[in-house]
Amino acid sequence: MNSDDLKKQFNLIYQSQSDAVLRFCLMRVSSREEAVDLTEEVFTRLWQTLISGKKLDNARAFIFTVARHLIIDWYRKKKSIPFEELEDKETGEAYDPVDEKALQNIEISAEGRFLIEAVSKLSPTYRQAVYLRFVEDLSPGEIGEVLGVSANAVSVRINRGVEELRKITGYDDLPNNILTT
Amino acid sequence: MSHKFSKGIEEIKKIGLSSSEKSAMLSRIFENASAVTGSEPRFVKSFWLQNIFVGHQFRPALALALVFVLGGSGLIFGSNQALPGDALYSIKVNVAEPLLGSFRFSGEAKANWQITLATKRLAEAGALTKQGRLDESKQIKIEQLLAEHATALESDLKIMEAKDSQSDSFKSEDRVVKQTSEPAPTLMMMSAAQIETEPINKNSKTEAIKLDFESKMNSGANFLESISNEKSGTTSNEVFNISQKARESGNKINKDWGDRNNEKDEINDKEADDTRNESIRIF
Repeated sequence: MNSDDLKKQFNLIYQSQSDAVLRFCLMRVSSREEAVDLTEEVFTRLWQTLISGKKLDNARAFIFTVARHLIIDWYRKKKSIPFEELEDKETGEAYDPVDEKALQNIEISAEGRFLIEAVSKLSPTYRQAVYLRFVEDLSPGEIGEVLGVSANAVSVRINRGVEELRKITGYDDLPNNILTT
Repeated sequence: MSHKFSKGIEEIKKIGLSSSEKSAMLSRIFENASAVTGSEPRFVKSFWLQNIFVGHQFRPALALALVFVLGGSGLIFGSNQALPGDALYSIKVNVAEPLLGSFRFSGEAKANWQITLATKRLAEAGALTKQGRLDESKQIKIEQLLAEHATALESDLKIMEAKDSQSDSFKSEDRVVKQTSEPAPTLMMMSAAQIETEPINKNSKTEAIKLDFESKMNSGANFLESISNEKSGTTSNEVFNISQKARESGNKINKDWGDRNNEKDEINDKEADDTRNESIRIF
C-alpha cells in the first residue's frame, strides 16, 4: 500500500474516531487540553503503526487500547501513584483511573452530565465496559481486546454494570439485554 | 417509558473536537510522524540532472559545477537518510546536522534542535531494528550520540538561563536606582512584589523544553521497543540499552535541572532577604 492509500485509510479512521477518542480521554483527565494532547498522541501512534507496514485487524480496538494505556501513563506521571494502586485488587488487571477534576470541566447539558457522573460512579470493573458499549458502540469482542479480557467476560460486566447504572439513575429505558442494543 | 438514557447518550456523543482542532491536529500528526520515522521518500528524479549533459560545449563547466554540488551540498543532504553503519552516516552527524544547527540562532531554537536530533537517533535505531541491522557497535554509537545531544541540550538550556538571569540583574539594578530616589514604603512593596513574581516566569521556557525532551525520549523509547517486539517478539538487548539511555537522559535533565533550580531558589531567597533587609534599613 503506498503512502497516499495509507493516508486515506488513516484519514477515514481519524475522521470517524477522533471525537470518540477525545471523549474517552476527556472523561478521565483533568483538562480539555490534556485530552486533546492524548488524542493527538493516540493518532500519531496509529499513523506510525500504519506506515511501519503493520496490518491492523481492528483499528477501533487498537486506538482505544492505546488511549487507555496513555491515560494510565498520564495518571502515573501526574499523580505519582504506584502501579499496584492502578490495578484491580481482585483480578490484577489494570483499569483506567479518573481524575477528580475530569468531569467538572466538561461542557455538556444536564442530561449528559447526569449520565456521565452516574457511569463514573460504577465499579471500576464495569465502568469501561459500559462506557465503551453504550457511548462508543464497541462490540463486546472489541471491548475485550481493549481491556484484555474475553468477550464473554465483557458481556457479563456490561450486564452487571447496567444493573448498577439502573439503580444509580433510576432510568427505565436502560437496555435489558446488551445484544438488543 | 422515558428516554432519559438514550437522551443522555446522545448528549455525551455531541462532545468532540472542533473542525479547526481536527485539521490542525491532523497536520501535526503527519509532521511529527515524518520527523520521527523519516519515512517519507525525499528523492525525486531531477529534470536538470537528467538533461544537463545535452550541450557538449558546456560539459567541462557543468561537470565542475556538478562536482561542487554533488561533492558538497548533495552529499550533505543526501546523507539525511543514512543510518549508523552507512558510508554517509558520519557526514550526516558530523557535517550536515551541525551545519543545519548553525542556522538556529536563539537558545530555544538550538535546544529544540538537539531534541530533534536525539529523537532522530531513536528513529534510526528503530529503522535498524526493523532491518535487523542493529548490533552492539551501532547501539554504542547511538548511545554516545544521544549522550552528546543531551549534553548539548543542557548547555543550551544553561545559556538560556544565564541570559534570563542577566536580564534579571538589569532589573535589579533599576530597582536599586529606584530605591534611592523613591520613598521607602513604596520601595518595600515593589521589591516584595518583584521577589514574589519573578522566579515563577523565569524558567517557564526551559521547563517546557526539558519536559518536551523527557516526553519525546520516553515515547521514542516506547516506540523503539514496540518495533523490536513486533520484529522478534521480544525487546533485544541493544534496543533495551538504547531505550534505557533515552529514558535516563530525559529523566536526568529534569532531575539535574530541578537540583540546580533548588540551589538557585535558595540564592534567590537569600538575595530577596538581603534586599528586604536593605529596604528596612533605608526605611
